[in-house]
Amino acid sequence: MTATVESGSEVLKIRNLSVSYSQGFGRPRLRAVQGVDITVGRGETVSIVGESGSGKSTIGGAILGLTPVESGSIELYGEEIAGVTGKGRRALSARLQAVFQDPFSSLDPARTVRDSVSEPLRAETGLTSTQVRERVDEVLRRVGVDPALASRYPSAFSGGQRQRISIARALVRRPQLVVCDEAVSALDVSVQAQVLNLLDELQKEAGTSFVFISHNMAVVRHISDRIVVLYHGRIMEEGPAEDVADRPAHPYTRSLLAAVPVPEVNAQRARRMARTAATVRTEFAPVDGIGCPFAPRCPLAEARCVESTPPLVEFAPGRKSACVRINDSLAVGHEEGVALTTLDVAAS
Amino acid sequence: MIGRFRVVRQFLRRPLGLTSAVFLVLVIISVALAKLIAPYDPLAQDYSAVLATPNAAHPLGTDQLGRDVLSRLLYGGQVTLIGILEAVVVAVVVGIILGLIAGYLGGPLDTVLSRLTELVMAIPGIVVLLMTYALTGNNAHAGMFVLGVLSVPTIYRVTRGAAAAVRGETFISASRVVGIGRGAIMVRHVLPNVWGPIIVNTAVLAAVTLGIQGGLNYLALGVNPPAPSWGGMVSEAQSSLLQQPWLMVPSGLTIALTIVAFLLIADALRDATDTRSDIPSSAPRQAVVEDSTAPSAAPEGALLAVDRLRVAFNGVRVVQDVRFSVAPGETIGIVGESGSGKTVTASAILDSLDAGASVTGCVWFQGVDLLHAPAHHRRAARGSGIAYISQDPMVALDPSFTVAGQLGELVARHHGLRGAARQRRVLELLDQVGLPDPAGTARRYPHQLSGGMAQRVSIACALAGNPKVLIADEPTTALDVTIQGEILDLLRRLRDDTGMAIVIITHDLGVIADIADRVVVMYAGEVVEQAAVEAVFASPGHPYTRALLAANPIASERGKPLMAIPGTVPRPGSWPTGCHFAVRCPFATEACSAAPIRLEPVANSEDHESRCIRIDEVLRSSRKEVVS
Ligand SMILES: Nc1ncnc2c1ncn2[C@@H]1O[C@H](COP(=O)(O)OP(=O)(O)OP(=O)(O)O)[C@@H](O)[C@H]1O
Ligand code: SF4
Ligand code: SF4
Ligand SMILES: [Mg+2]
Repeated sequence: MTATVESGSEVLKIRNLSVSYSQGFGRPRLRAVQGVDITVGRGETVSIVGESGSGKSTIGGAILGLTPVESGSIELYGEEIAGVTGKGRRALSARLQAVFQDPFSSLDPARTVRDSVSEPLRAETGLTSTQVRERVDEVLRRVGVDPALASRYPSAFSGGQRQRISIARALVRRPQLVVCDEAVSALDVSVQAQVLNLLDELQKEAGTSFVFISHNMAVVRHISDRIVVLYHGRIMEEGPAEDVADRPAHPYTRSLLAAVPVPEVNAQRARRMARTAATVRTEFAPVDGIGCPFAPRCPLAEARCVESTPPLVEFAPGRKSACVRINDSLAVGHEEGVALTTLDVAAS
Repeated sequence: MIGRFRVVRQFLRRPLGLTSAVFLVLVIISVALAKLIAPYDPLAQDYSAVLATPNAAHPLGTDQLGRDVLSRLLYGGQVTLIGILEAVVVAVVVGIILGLIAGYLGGPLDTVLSRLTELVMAIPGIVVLLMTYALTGNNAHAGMFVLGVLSVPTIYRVTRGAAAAVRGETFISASRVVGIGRGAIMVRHVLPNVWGPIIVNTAVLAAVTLGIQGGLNYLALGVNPPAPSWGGMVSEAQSSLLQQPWLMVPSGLTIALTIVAFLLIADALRDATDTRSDIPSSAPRQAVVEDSTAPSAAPEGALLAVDRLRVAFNGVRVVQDVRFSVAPGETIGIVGESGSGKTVTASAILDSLDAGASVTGCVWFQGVDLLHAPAHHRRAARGSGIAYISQDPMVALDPSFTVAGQLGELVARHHGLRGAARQRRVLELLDQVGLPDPAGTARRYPHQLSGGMAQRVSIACALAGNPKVLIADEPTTALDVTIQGEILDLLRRLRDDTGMAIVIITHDLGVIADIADRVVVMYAGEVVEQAAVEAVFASPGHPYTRALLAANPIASERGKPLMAIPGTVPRPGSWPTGCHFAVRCPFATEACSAAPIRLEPVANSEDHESRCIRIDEVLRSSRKEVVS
């Protein structure tokens, strides 16, 4: 998981993506995603992290053709895929797949596991039914589900097993890019760990790239090469996972990290202080979509933060932040200790 | 949402539905074989035997022209049943296609189709039918076709509703990603998940159609006498009602029984396709409290204490030997993975278990065993002494009342406050839960609140009765992590201000570390460890607790695999005899699986209990040895 993106090796290139939703007659459209750039290299995991409604799933949906794109481009290996539907999608499905959140609704309850896992192969012509069967058995075995159980319905499986089956369905065509939208969020910690390990192994074996959408900083910190932090449809911060998670540059990233409770009493007591200190309501707010969206909750906010929208700028190699007070923010960050530094749980 | 075979099995288990189905099949077979089994020509008249009661030659008697009633019933059934089939097929085919399109695709097409069906329903059906018969020379098929069209809205509506509900499911997105076309998705994924309500309504439609058609035939519409039909026979019987009342019986009863059969089948299908039908209908409405072994005494100093709690659903045990206690002002955290029994334990305390549950043990609250106390006492305790908030705050809030409305009602119920005093208390409560604009919030409806605000309002509702204990079931799971922090801070503050105790249920050990004083770890229906939080995090006394801590990605080193616990939690009903964690435990020996393990104090610690017979080895080992 140390892939670096050289030019030309990009699997996915999103440029200036905007998506908005209609809110009904006479009301302004809801701007769910605004001017987002994301690049994913081969074998790389890029996470999109943010709170509910920040636009994470919208980006995933745009990549997968589930959400209409308003403007901008999405290229898969240099080929424009924004807005491609129907037959074009079917062709794309050989290279682009998805794993969704809810293990209980992502498999059709009225179809057997074999039906569901083989569905992506329907789009692949020239496979005999024996070949389909073999491919399905192989991929089920790979994710740790006994192929002998494939004739059962999803209701016979636990949440973790269903998520493995969803992963099997996503991988059966050996795609180059998999979009995982909250793929482990509904799982218990112990099962979540199994699934995260599985994704990691599969990536190492096949060099698959992942767009990993999650609200869970701890999970994202563990699995990603790079992290994109989203707030109100805009990128707040972006950079290598260890930097963003352990040395956050943007005040929003910091508040996100400070809010994660850690399983250690003293450490958590200290973090709680930091969290409470960082929880503020300010008098600043963007007007007509202009200004820093985080200003109402930012401990560093001041008037100039809402005079214009802070652009996403590269403040160090490979690291970007959309904050006009980036230097002050970095200085605060050093004192606060909100990072999820590896806890000493496994050591004593 | 159900396997096909399960529905058939469920249906076969319902005697009324099954009998009706057998009856209907027999009717259809005999009518189909009318040519072979009818003793006479249905039109053959025999003036020597008019209006006969049943006898050897005519098992069902004869009519006023001496025609054999049985034969007429059999032949007449053909017209009748084929007519029903025509009408129902038209209604079902058209209704399903339009319903799927409208429900699954939605949008303007949906609007147009829905208006159109409303229009069809507004048309006076009988007028259209009369016109049809008039224009087609009393053609039976045309009439039934039109009746079918008029019935399309029934099927359209159920299909549309069910399809619209399925549309948002993730498995539909998953298929779209693969490039499966809309038509194929509708046939392959939507239809199989909506056919339950459709067939139920089809059976009802058949019954209704039979009734209408009987009426039409009675008026000699769609049938040309002397050709027999069931409705026509009723009409003939009526004309000789005074001379021979019996004549009314065969045709009238056949129609009535067939209609009843269709309805009973619909009823049985409704039950069989209902996923909740696994609970036998004879189950008691309320959870049953079984008399347990000799009741223990109320524990000293505890506000709320659960002792030897055991809960079973339909004989399958889901929670056993759960015990813990909470002191005033204390926060106790119950942590465990899904299916470990956390919510069932809370429901048992709150007396909110579903039908089919049986409970044993004791739930002591302020010195009274609620499980064995008189009903009014239980209600009083649970109404105000013990309050509850759930994961989904919207569940607690009624969408059709403003915040002030529902909170005001609670305030009135608990304190008998009216008018301005009531309003004051409402605003006070909203202020107490940290809502920035209490008056503004009070005027809003639940759907106008964000998740965090809604959870604060539901906490305000819980506080309305000044509870001694607040049970919070995953109160922050549905919220953003930044909001979660605020809610935890709020709960802590309320505890400190009011002195109430909190039982917080969570799957997140971080939340436990943040707010709890003591922790109860549950695994597969049992308490496996309990202690003060410091003790549990500093030196976890059960292999499961250790594994749970180690599997947390917070504790991970990037690039290295997480310490996952192999395998899955055993389901209720398949718990092993001995330690429930044995198959996944790196410390397991044969002895672990031989007999049930008791929850016992951990050596040299008064307040630390663990359900593990190898606890000494576990404590001696390094924390790294959590996974085999
Ligand atoms: N189909 C839709 N129609 C209208 N608005 C929508 C639609 N889908 C999403 N939105 C809105 O767009 C914004 C971004 O939503 P999105 O689902 O992308 O957020 P998210 O980051 O995935 O959140 P979550 O963590 O809750 O899944 C939100 O304000 C949401 O309410
Ligand atoms: S731009 Fe201003 S308000 Fe926005 S994050 Fe930076 S300091 Fe805070
Ligand atoms: S009793 Fe045995 S199997 Fe159970 S947790 Fe202890 S060592 Fe493991
Ligand atoms: Mg989402």
